[in-house]
Amino acid sequence: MLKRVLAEIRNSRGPISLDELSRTLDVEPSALQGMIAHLVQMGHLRDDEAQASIAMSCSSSCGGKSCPGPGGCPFATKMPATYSLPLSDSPSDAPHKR
Amino acid sequence: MATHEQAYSGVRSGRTRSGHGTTLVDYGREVEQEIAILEELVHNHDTLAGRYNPRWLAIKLLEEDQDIASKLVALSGTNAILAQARVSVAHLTDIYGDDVDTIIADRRYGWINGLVRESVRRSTADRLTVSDRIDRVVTNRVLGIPIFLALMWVVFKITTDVAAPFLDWMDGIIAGPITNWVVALVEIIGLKGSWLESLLVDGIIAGVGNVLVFVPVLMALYLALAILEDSGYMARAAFVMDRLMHALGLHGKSFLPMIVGFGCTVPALYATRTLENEKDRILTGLLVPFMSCGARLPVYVLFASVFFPRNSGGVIFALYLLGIVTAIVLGMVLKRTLFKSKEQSPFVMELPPYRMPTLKGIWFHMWERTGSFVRKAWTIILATSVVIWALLAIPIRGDGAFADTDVEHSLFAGVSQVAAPIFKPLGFGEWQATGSLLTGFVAKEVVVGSMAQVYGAEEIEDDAEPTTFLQDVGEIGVSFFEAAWDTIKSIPLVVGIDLFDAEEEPEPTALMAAVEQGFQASSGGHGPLAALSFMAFILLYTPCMVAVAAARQELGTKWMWFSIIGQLILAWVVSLLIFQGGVLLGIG
Repeated sequence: MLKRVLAEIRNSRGPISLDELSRTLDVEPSALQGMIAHLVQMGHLRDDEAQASIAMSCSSSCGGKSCPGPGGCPFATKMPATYSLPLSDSPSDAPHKR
Repeated sequence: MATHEQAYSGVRSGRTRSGHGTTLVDYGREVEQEIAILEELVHNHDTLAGRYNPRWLAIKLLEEDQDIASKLVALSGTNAILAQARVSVAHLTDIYGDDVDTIIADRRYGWINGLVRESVRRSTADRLTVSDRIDRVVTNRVLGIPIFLALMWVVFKITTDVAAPFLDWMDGIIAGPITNWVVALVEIIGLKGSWLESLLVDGIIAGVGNVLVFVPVLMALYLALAILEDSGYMARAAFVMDRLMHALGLHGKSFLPMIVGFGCTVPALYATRTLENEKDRILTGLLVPFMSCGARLPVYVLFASVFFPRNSGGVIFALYLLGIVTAIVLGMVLKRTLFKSKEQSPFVMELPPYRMPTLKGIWFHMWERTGSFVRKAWTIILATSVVIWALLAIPIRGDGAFADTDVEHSLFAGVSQVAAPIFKPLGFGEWQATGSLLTGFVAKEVVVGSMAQVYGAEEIEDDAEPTTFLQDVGEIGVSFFEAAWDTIKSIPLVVGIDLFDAEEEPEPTALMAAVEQGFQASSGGHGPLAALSFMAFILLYTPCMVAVAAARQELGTKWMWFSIIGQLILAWVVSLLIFQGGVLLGIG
């Protein structure tokens, strides 16, 4: 099942939404979320949201006093979570172990 | 030790070989054989058998669970089990060519999915939520982009048409009562005609005040963006545009930072970190500044109101579109030249369900962003206004004195005149426009304030009837309600219905009149073309100093300079094409 998820993402032409993936694989969206979380844990997918949350808190480097500081940049937009296939790790050789 | 076949036959019979319960998930012949071998070893170990379920422990060992392995190492007599686990893992990896934990998880999720399909019965209609139904239209491959563009157009109609009455109201307050109060205060303390009065009126009120006039416009923009974000649409816009980017050969994830760029370039540059490939990350960082940030909006609104009063929303929409198209075209060129890369990491996007935005949430977003803009007015814009005032107050020609000189003879004019010829082919080769562009390197919010200072556009009506403080306050209150009523009347303008009488057209402000006169003169009577050319330059050249610092941090010094120089060249070329092309074609 996980291999089918990875294969579908790999073969998708452009970004694919979780709902599209769920329909294509005929899997419940909630079950698919669990599978994706598992694939992230195993290192087969990369959770971009973790990177994005770092990016959104532009901290002291953004305009100094004009930014509110600890609360983060008010112009940062909450973006949807994305999960990418890592470039260097194909699904068959991901090294990550719990 | 049991053979593989013996072990597996025990599993298939419905019970594990060691008799510890029925197996629920069948992990496949080879995996089950290895589980059975390990299960047997665990079962025969005195300590482990009583502490763990043998099958569970066998699976954990095959998954190479580090916690479990470390616990077994601490116990005596487990070496044989651990050695067998290593042999089993190697054997299975050899057979499947994949990690054993992946194989086990794959089977486990396959079993879960099968169970759900067998036990849950739902019709197709039940499976489609409201979000799914909306998404079928909004993220449709054909309709997705036209819907995104239509919504952007509505946003800019709201920004310009609906916010206009409050823009006039703010202008009336700053140019009227506030200026009068400051002048009266200076007179009371006996400093009328001094440099302090010049600093307060020509420097701070003209500089900061003329920027604060645009607060209602920015509030309208942030209101519209907050509704789109909180409803969940913005994520769809990113998804739809990402698909387009991918189809054009760019990285699909590039548009996510670009969407952030509509608010501010700085967090957008940091958002490029979501791209793993360095080439894609740098390329996206180079394209992000072409997304028009909120700080550029006051310049667009000023020029669109002066030169295109009937279609200002459309002009601003076209500028935002120009930014997107420039980024895409430039991205395609760079991707095929400097940033050649075959690596594309496919990705899946989790779109949040649609939600009805709450008033509290929208207000919070709008207030936070407007507050940040106002705070900037009291820091960067105030400081820049004071510096510009000082440069305008220092005479380098003529017989004027400090703070008592013709601006044409000032140090600021002298410096700006050196650079002005560069912009002559673009239709705005006068020193005032050039000087404003130079200050725009600091922050785009400063441009309008600088223009108000260099054009000397403060509106003091010397022959007006003097009013009392209470009369002024009363007038502010009355004009507020008039502006609120006009705002309500402006809403139908979004769909093209004009409820205003022709004679209700607002009078142009002193700044608007000065800008119109200046651009008409510098362009040889092609004012609208020069205005378009100027707005395109504002859109495409360096956003601000903070963005430059962010670019250095994220892209490195080399690419920061590439970005600055490239943006300047591109801005010059595009503005030249707009102005000279328009003149040649007889437009404007």
